[in-house]
Amino acid sequence: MKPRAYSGLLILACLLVMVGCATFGSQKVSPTPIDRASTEIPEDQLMDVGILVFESKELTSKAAQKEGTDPDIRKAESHFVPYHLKNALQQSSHWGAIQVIPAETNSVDLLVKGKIIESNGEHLVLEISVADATGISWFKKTYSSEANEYNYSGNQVGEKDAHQDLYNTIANDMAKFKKKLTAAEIKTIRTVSKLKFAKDFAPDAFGDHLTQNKRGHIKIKRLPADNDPMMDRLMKIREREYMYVDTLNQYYDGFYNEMWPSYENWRQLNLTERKAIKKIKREALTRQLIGALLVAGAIAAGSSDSNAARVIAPAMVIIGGQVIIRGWNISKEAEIHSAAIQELSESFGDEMQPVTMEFEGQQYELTGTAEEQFKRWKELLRQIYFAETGFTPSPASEEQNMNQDNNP
Amino acid sequence: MKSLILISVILAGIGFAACKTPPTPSASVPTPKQEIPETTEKRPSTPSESTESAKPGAQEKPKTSRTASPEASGSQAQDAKPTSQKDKTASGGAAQTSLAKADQKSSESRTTRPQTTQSKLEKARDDLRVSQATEKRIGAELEKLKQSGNASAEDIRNYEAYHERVQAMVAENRKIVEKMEAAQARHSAAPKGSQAATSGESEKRSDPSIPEEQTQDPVAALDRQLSASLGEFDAMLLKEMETIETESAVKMRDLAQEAAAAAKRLKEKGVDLGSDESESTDAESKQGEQGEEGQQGKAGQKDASGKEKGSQPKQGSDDDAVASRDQSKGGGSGPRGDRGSRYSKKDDDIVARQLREAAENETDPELKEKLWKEYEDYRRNTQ
Repeated sequence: MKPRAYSGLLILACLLVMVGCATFGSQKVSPTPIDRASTEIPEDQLMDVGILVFESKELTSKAAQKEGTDPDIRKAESHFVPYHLKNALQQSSHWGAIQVIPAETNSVDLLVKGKIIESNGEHLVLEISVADATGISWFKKTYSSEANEYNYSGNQVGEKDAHQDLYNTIANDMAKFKKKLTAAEIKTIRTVSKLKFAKDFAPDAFGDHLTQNKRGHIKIKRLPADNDPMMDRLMKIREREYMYVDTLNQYYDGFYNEMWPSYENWRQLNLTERKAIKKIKREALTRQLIGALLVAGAIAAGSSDSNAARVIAPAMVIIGGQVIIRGWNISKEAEIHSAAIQELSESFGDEMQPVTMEFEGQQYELTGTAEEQFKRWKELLRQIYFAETGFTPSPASEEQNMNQDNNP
Repeated sequence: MKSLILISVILAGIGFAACKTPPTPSASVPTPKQEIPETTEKRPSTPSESTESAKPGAQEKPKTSRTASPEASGSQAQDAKPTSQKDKTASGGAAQTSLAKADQKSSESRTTRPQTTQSKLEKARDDLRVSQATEKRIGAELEKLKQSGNASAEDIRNYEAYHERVQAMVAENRKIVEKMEAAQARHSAAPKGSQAATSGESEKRSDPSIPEEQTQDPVAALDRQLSASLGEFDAMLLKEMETIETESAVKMRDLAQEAAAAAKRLKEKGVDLGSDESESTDAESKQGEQGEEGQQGKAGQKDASGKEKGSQPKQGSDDDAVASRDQSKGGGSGPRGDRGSRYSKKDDDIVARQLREAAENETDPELKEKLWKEYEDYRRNTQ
């Protein structure tokens, strides 16, 4: 066989592989029902969960465009996604109070942190880490989900999202870990959470009730006395912090509900456009490959000894060229869909920007007020402690107090 | 077109007949929709009396609170009030002064009108139950409509929009119930906490030992400062909550208006919204009577529930604040007391009751007029 024929066959083989890659489909999302508690959990076994507002790397316009989203949308999602996770956890009934929190706090038994890696209506990729009050990390995983058009039917605000299986999986993983804990371990976590709060607000009184090892794990060194009046006061303050977080979550709830319809729309349209782009690109690539194949075949035929082959070779070149051009034209259509995605994202991002700003403004105002109050209470508790005990504050304590004043 | 109308009517009638039987969880509503209401109602609230009217100084939102571990701290002022799956228990740390006073006021209000507050909560729960039942039914009918293949795309869209509005109303009703339960739990806990704290304080003051008295004074003064500060914080949070609830009420009103408009569009297209004279209507009539006590937030919510869009094959379904806007009739500008009097409250379904309450509680005369007109139009069309 002539070298040119070998070349033609090699080209043909490569083209076939590329065609195969071009038509490879993406992985389906597997249905994941949520794991609900089968029996009511006793109150002293319930753990309060705090879900921190999700992180997201700062998206430049170019990066956002490439991902098929918008920086304003991503910012809004950093509040939306944790709130929907909260709803999913509530559905599981394994937990006590579940709240979205703007910053880390010692008021919760379990802290969930998340990061949005990708979100564009088609894909949702989240990195989730969960740790309890004793500092033990439950898990850190990356979850990804791919939606199709069927995932956008029958959705309900607060209950079913297009990527509900992803949320259910996270909730199930948390429940799975919790089920491994004994009642004593859960009690310990709750106690540590309470003592951490006490230490934060009244370090002079409760600063030495906990110890922390090199790995960052916290253990109880001693417990406060029964009927400790300082602990009573702290529990009253803790209630106020709970109420403050409740109020914040009302704002989150309003923001979430307001965002839902447009967000759902945007994701669904984005998915449609992205699917269209993929289909078009596959089609374009296929045509281009076929065209290239024809041209390669023509080259091989042209060098063949057969007269017939030499006759059809020019025709094959012409047809192949036309097919390639057509493939190129089709791929131009994909640019139209890309532009549509960009326009959709910009439009939705512009819509969400004032909503997010208003929500963050409300949150900031409330948080600022609350933090001022917390500072005041810490100072009052300090004064009460020294008045009750008759102790005088140590230099270290004074310095710590000054640091707290300067660094709220 | 006529055949389409006829088929829609037949389907609505079948759906109505099906819905006359007690609803079962296996009705043709997707599972997630059903499970959620059951989940949120899973943890019973403690049957203590409380009131959402005792707002001043009261703590309404103990959602994240829980009891202390007794072996850890032995804190006294902690109450266990699991109200919903969101709430754990409330620690009864009522602020000494203003909060205690507010709690006393709420206690008094509870003492004088215990039935009202409890009945309001029951009414809210009934509302939620009925709206959930209606939502299920509408979902089932929507599915039937889609599967029949005879409905036009526009009808289906309208129906879906209507369904969405009903779902939104269910969500709002659920939130209201949760808030009321939380408020009830808080108020039932707070007096105990305040009483315990008060007795503790009095014991301290009665200590005859001079050195202890001397030390108690500055401590007592600081405690008073702390309590006052806690009370201020409570008031600030309550104000925030009220703002949020007002916005929610406005939203519910908008939802009800949209739902009513959607129902009207469907009626104009000849889709029979049907009527369900079963439990939902009866429950709503009862609720209609209770609802006469009137709460503005509730009124707004009822308004919102009246704004169902989409089709409602069941005419008497309670969540449907379907008030077809019949511009020619009904309502003139009769005196407030006369509006709606020609229609018996007992015959009001949930939609009509919500429209009536909204109209009675509305302060804006123009909006009040519109609401009365909607109510009358709705009653006329459903009779």
